[in-house]
Amino acid sequence: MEDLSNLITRAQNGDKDAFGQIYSIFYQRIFRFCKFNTKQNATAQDICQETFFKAWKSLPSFSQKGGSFQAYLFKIARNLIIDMSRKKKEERLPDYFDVVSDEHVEEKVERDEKTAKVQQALAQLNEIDRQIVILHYFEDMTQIEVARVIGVKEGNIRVKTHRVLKKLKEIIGEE
Amino acid sequence: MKELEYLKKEYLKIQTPQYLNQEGWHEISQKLESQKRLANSPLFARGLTFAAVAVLFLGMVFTTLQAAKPGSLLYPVKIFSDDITALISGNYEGNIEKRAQDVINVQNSREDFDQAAEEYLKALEKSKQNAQKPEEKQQFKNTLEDQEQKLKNAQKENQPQNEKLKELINKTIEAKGEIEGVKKKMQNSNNHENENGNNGENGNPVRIRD
Repeated sequence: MEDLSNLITRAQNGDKDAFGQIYSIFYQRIFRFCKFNTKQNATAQDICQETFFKAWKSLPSFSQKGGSFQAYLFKIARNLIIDMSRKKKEERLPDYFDVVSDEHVEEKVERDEKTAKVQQALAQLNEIDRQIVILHYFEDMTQIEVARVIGVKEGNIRVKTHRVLKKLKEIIGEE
Repeated sequence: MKELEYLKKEYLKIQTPQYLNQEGWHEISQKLESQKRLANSPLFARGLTFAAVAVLFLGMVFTTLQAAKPGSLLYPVKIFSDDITALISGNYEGNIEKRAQDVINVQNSREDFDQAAEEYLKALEKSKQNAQKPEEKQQFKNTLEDQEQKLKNAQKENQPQNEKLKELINKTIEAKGEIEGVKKKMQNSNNHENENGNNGENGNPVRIRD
């Protein structure tokens, strides 16, 4: 497969096939991120598709010097998740935390106890802290990339990541 | 942190639906294509051009109408357009002001002056009928006072239409009097009721403030 940087340049020049290759590189990760945050397949799928559609539209303004492409995509996805979450609050649909506690009893029993514990702890964090954990620990993004996605100053992200981990440990320890 | 590792494994296990694997890109590709087609479509371009021309045309018509003077062919259209605007906004006093200005602007032509005077009286009547609430009556009265002054000033400067202007001033004063009369009549009736024992809660007669 072609180098990502070349694909981006081609896509920025209007090459749809190049963007198609970019899609195939990232769509699984974007979907996974959306699914983990929304807990709903259909919603995650819609947000995933919308992320790429928006990414294509604003592609001319993306600068490869300014940051990584995955940070750019995850940022779009995160903003869409936030928008969706706001709408759901208005419609009073279950949000992240509700879904965790509303799971079927059987599934809860089956699931590894430790995983359930940390997942519930994660749900107690605020949105930014939760994304730091997901992006940095699950998606293996660099701290600079995480800072770009969540819109935090790069200088603060190291301290913030450390604090989030400490907080998570405290919550798990309390339970 | 071991617990995070467990959760990470679960996170990585999340599977993409079949639809995304098979149709995901195709769906986006079609969406992008249809958007491109729409942007390049001659029909869309024509629609945009038509909308722009229509806005421009309506703007020109509106400007031309506003410039129409009594005696011109477009003047009745202007009156009609002002009536519609007044009906929508509920501001009938604006029409009295406009018509009074028309009267002042065409004093040198007898025929045009007659048409403008007629429209002024019509606007006066319409506005009087629509001034129902106390604040509307007050607004109407204030407008009439302004027009009375404007017409009097015009009367001083213009001899040929002096008599006609005098008539318009009298009609204006008359309309103002009617509104004031209604107001006074209401106050008198309230005072009368108070004097006949219709007292306030503390037993004292209710004072009407002017």
